[in-house]
Amino acid sequence: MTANGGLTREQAQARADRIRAFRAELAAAESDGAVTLTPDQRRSLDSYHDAHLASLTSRFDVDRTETQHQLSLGLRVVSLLGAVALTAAAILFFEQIWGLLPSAGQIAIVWGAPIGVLGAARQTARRERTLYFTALLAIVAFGCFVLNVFVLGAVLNARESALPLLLWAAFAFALAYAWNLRLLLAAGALCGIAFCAATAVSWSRIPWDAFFVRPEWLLLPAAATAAASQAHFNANRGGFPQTLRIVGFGTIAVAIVVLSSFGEASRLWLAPRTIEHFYQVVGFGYAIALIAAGVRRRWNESLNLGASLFGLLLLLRFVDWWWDWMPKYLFFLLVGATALLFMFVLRALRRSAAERHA
Amino acid sequence: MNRLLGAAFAIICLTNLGALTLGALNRSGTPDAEVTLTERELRLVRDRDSTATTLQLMFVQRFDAQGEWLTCPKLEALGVSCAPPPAGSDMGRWYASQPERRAYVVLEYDGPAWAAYRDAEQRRLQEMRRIDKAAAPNESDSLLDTYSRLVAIDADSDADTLRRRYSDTSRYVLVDARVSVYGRSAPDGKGAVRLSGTIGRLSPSAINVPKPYSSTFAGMSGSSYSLSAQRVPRYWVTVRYGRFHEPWVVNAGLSTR
Repeated sequence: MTANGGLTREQAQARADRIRAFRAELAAAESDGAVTLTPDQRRSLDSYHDAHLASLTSRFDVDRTETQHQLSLGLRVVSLLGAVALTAAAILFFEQIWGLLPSAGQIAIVWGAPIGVLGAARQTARRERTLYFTALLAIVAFGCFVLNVFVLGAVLNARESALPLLLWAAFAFALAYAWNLRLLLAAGALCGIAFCAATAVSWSRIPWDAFFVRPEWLLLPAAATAAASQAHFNANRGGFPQTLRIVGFGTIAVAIVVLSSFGEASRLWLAPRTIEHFYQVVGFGYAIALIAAGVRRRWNESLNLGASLFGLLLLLRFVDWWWDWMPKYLFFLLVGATALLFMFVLRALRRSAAERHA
Repeated sequence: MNRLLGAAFAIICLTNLGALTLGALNRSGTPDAEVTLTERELRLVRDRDSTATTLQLMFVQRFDAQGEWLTCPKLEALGVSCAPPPAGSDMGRWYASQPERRAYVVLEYDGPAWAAYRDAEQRRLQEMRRIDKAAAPNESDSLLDTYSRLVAIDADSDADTLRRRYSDTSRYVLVDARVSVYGRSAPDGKGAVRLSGTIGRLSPSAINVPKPYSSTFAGMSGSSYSLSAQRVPRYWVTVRYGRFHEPWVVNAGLSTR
């Protein structure tokens, strides 16, 4: 997760995985008699790979075996669950002692909590290379900062505002870029998108949270988030471009799905049904564009998102057209038949791609 | 990395310092309003998982023909459109999807508006009782004694304009609120849909009670709306509103009655 000598942990892990795969394939080829290495060649190759793996392990603590890889995955999941549980514990504990403290004490505690947890995360980051515990503490620090802002608002009886979203976005981005944490990057991007949309609606004296019922305000900041995935400062950070694309493209997809079903939520001065039809067409076009971009640029997340959006929009239209009057077995039969049709189309595309490659 | 972590520490500190400065600014100078309310206007909220003492600000808005004032001309002035929906669209869905607007609302405490509302409610209950006694039992009258005496009487997008119009700071409270429009059918379900304005969430709608005032509420259960509920307010609270129309508790005590 840490950049070191121009190499990120993800890149180091990818290299270690390639070495592991190469060794397994070489062993299979040798057992089939396809190739035979001389003892000198084998020694030279093994020492070359061992030296590389040793270097990657010492710098990045990469997984060298399948078991290690699975345990790392488990560590990531447990780290996330632990962070959520610890944040919930901090919030609930504060609720329990809230009434026992004077206002100054309440503010001192919620002010000190994110600073203390952040300090602990910094110390932990100096001791571990994999940053699992650092990631856990960073998420808890973010949760404590969210609590901090909420408590400040409650103690001061402050009027509601979108400003906390900006503060949370800035804090999450600072931690995400400090330690290459994708989850906090996504949290920061979502808060940033929400802040931009909330600020835009506030200009018309509309309450800041009205962007939920006016999702068109989300489109521009979400597109900017997806575009930021191409920025040079994200290119060498493992998983950052993918995360920003998922958040940006995904938010646009959600907005389009809502508008394609509730035309009244649009700012366009057209009949709601016309707006729904417009966004239905836009939605299918957007899904196809995501799939095309995913194929051309090898963005797997865009490809998957586009395919999911296409399927969802199609299902919603089927429900609109047929659910009320068609027998339910026939409805699901048609959905299944459509899925089969798509499988044939995708298989044909796969074949033509293979022929082009050949 | 160190610079980014430094920025994170700075964000925490600046957020807290900024919020405390704004809070102090709100409470400095002459308060915008100072009123002493009771349990009728400030309902005690209790949460099993929290030891916080929070009071929910309650108010009354009139929708009857004699008392309704938040109608289309006023709504239009606040930026809420009463324009009819485009042809072919569902009227209920159309108005329900119109976003709320922020406005300052004047709440009058225990004044002519409350007296008029109480009289109108009593007349309505008597009429209901005349038609069907079971629909409005005698207890309903005394239930009026639990209603909030804060009545919404006016709204504007500019707080200063309202304060000039309602200068008594011990009776008129200006609160930041959400205003929206919705279609109201005639009682018989026929005829044209009547558009009404409604005042939604106040900001803030709940007031935190700090120490030492929170000790007044020690051992008290949350306020109840039920017919069998305690009719006599158990406490009084003096609330001050500052220059940003944000309230804070300056005194509290148990009712003597």
